[in-house]
Amino acid sequence: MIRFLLRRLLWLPPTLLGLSLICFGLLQLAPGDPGELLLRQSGGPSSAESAARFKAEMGLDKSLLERYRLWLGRAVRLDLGESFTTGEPVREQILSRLPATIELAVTAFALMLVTAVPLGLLSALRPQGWLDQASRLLAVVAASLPNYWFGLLLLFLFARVWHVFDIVGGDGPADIVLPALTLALGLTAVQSRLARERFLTVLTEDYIRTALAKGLTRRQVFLRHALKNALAPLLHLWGASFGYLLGGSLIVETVFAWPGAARLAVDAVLNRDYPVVQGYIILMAVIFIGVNLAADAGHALLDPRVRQSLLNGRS
Amino acid sequence: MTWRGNKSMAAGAVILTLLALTVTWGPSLAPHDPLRIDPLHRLSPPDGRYPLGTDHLGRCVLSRLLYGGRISLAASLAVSLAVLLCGLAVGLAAGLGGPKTDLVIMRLVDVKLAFPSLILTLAVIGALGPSLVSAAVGLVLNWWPVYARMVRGLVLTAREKEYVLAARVSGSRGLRLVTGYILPQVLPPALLLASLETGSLILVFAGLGFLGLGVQAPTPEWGTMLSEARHYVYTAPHLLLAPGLAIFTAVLGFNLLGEGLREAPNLKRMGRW
Repeated sequence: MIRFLLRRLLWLPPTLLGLSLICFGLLQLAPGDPGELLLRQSGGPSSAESAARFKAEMGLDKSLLERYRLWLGRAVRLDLGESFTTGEPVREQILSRLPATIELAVTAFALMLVTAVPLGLLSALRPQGWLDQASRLLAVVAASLPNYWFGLLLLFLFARVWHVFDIVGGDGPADIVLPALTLALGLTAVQSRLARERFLTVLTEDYIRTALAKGLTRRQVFLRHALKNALAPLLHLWGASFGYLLGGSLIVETVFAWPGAARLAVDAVLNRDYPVVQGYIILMAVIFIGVNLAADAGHALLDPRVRQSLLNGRS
Repeated sequence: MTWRGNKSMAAGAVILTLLALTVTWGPSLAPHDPLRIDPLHRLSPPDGRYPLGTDHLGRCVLSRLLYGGRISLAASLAVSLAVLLCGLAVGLAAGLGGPKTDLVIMRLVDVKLAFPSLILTLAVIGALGPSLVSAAVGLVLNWWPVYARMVRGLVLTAREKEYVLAARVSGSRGLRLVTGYILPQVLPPALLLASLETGSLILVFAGLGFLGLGVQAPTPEWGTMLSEARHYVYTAPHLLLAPGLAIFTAVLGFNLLGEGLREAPNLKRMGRW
């Protein structure tokens, strides 16, 4: 297990280096001049002198390699610079908004778990039964629904027609329901079908037939043998689905005026606030990599075959 | 092909054909200029003159929907095609270029797949500035690795097939070998993936428009129409209906088509990817 984890950890430095190059490189290619943009936005005079002073302040007058070196040095210490628009440190700005994003993602993830797994399981117990057919149709429809539209419809129905929720963007416990539902929708559609597939595969395995032949009841076989073996590979898929949640939060936070980090990032892109965009991307990528590492470790912990195949070099 | 797969494929094909026809003839069907502002009829509900009502500037929603569909669908299809071509090129290069090329390319793909695509698309748009072109570039740059990995796997399998070996022994080399013997094995599953991915690309592309990161006002596009309608959820909810339904229908068409194709037995044999 430790060797497995070490092997996975070996992958981190090149991956993070790739990330830093992608992030830094892309934002260097930007055509606009943020210094001038900032001064224009603040309504101040855009003289060449003040623009130069601003550029020097932000370190934009140095060479590309020099800037990358400086930037990387600070980035590994998680010093992500200051925002172009507010002048505040990017790290503090994002970290103060991060809990809201995490709260939303975790709630949506939990919603997905409690619906997708039972739905997949029940569908697998009676393949082609009415529930299987219905959930299949539902999955296609739900996967086709734009979550921004679904969110707006929910907002209209619950706030305008039924007057259930009054304020958008508050922090009462009820306010998270609609955003989390919106975020979970597409994911649940996909994951319930994947869960069904996994359960179906496991239920036809030889060891299940053996266990049944030994005279164990269906319930015993199910709880002791099938569940664990079906859930192990699903862990890996759930880790990967976290990227969907992070991407989806960009939209859901905008629809519901949710005060999270994703909305900060969208605003930053619209305002050409490069340090905030960079900071957001780095932080999200690190979170995503961490979650996946944990999910894969869990997978390997539950399934010795995975550990073995990875150690043999077939990843 | 199963009956069920057949039915869902047919439904998808019908939806997509109708949509394609509507969008192609859109300009002649539209009752008004999609950009014309009518200040006296702002946010008006559907009536005889404006069949789907007007938006916050008094522009005809039906006309904007018909013109907007051309942009939403054409851009998504173009992105999907570009992604397919990039994935094919990279996947073929990895599968046929020898072990060293393969290693380098697949490691790059691994690194790329280690990050959420939408977040990286945001990075590209952040660098280039929000516009239709940067949204499309961002999507192409971030969606190809999935195809590349699948194509490479298929090429590795196809390469070892006996008739490919036979073709090589009898002198087929280079382009002829690829187009004549390997590509026919690779293309059907790649096209299936493309049909499934086109649906999600439409969703994401309109989503970027919705966030203000894609197509910019006043150009009509389904996502931006929803983004404008969002401020009038309470006063003019009818504005929400048409663009959302349009996006949903288009995506549903592609998803049904893909779902049906997946059931097709000759594709099933090609295994999972």
